[in-house]
Amino acid sequence: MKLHVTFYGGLKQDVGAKTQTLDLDGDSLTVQELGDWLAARYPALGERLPTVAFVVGDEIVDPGYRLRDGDRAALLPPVSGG
Amino acid sequence: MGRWILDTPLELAPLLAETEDPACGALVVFFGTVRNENEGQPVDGMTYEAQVSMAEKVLGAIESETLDRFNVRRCRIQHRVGTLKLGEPSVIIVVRAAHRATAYDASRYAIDAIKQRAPIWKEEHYVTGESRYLDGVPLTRKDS
Repeated sequence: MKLHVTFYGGLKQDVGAKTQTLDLDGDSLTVQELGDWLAARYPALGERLPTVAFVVGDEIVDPGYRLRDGDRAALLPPVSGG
Repeated sequence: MGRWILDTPLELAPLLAETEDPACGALVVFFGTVRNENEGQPVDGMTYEAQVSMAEKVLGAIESETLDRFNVRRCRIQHRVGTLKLGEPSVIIVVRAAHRATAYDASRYAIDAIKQRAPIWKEEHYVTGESRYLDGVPLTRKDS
C-alpha cells in the first residue's frame, strides 16, 4: 500500500523531506503502526512521537485509526504560532 | 491562502474597515511581531509555517468562541505564513466591544487560544546563520 505523509515544523528535518510517499506491506495499518514504522527508520522523529498529532482530512485521529492505500496523513508537532 | 492565513504582509486597515461598528466604544488591536532576540540569542528573522486548511478552521473557531464567550461585537484574526523580518507582524487580532474591559479580555483570550491550538510553527533564524524550530504546545483531538 502507498501512504502520502506530510511532516510539519521540525519533523521535516527529522525525516529529510516535507512529504513522502511510503510503500508499505499490507493493505492497511493503524496510526500507531505507522508511528512505529517511522520511529524505526527515523529515531529523532521517534523520540518526538509522544507529542505529535496525526491528522487525516484535517482531523486529529487516534492511534487506533486505520489508514488505507492511497490515504494522506500528516504529522503535526507541538505548535508555536502567534 | 484564505480569510485567516495570509502569505502576504498583514494589514490593519482592511480589518478595521471590516469590523467597523458604531455600537462599539472600544477597539483593541493586538499585533504579534518578530522580536530581535530569544533566550539571549540575537534573532534576525522568523519563518512561519501552517497546516493551512486546519489553521483556517481553528482561527475561524477562535473568532466565534471569542464572540460567544465575551460580550464583544466584532473579532477578526489574521496570521501570516512565510519568512518575516524583524518587526513584521505575524498575527493581528482586532476586537471591538461596547466597553474596554471585555475587549481587552477577549483579545487576550484569542491570542492565548491561537498559541495553544492553531497548527502553526515558527522557525527562528539567528544572526549566526543558524535556525531552530521553537518548542510548542502539543495538539490534542479537541483542537481539530
